[in-house]
Amino acid sequence: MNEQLIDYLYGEMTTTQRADFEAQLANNPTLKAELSELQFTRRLLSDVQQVRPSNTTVTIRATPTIPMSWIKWMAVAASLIAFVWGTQPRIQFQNTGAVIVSGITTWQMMSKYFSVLQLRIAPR
Amino acid sequence: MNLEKHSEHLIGKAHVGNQQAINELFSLWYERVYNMAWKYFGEEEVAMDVCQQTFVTVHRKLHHLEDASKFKYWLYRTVINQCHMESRKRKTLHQAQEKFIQRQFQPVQEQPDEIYHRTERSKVVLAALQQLPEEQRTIILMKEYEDLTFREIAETLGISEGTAKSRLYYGLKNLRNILLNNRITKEYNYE
Repeated sequence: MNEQLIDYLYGEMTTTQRADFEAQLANNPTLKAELSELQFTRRLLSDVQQVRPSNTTVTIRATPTIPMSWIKWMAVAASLIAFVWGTQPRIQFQNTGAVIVSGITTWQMMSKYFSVLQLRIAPR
Repeated sequence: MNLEKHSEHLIGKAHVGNQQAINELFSLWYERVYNMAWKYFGEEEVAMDVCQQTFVTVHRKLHHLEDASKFKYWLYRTVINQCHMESRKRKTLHQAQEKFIQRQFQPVQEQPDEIYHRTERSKVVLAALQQLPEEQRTIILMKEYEDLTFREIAETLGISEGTAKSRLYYGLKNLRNILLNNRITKEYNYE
């Protein structure tokens, strides 16, 4: 009977089922009272209106393709390199001329790995 | 083009790496996702957190969705899962109950006419929803506010239609009892 009440309450009955159920309602005051209570609760629920959220930005970080444990070790290694070399810039001589190399380069390479995508979302 | 067909179209584009399509897809569903979470928790800040987590998850797993016509169910399942996780993390249920009890003891005499105003009733109903067991609350939100059929709810949650109806029935009964305890009665409000 509970299922039938719910089906009736939400209009998910065929015409025949509906007619049968309404006949039961007419002869069963208890059932009718219970339906009335459920309808009342639904009316209260309808007081909670849909709200329109403000625009938001969803930040999506790239999913690492190698295990996090590796990344941690890479970070440790990069820190050591940055500490040893980053604080003491060196000059390398290449075909195009002299280039200053420091630990910063290492950090730039790592930051590419942790790329971030930002999606700006507005409700439609 | 209806919402679901439009979504399918956008998912097709997203599968080939079109970020603009993903953006548009999220915008289409943003309000629904937000409202689901807002009614689940009754708190805007938590609702926004759930939205963010839901879209991050959807972005990460969208390429696993083979049948784009199932997106709606998949998205709702994701939102509900996020709500459940967030609920456990923040113990929101406990906090909401405390707030609800505080509201019950507010002096009604101070604003006798306004207390039953729609906005106030809305707050009380939202707080009452937080007191329901998660499984009953979820079904009420999906049926009342998202207007899903029982077949759709059953598919989304992986339960039978009979179970969905039963949870809804007991959810409505429990909600009524909670509201009656909070003096929301027919005499005061509608009759």
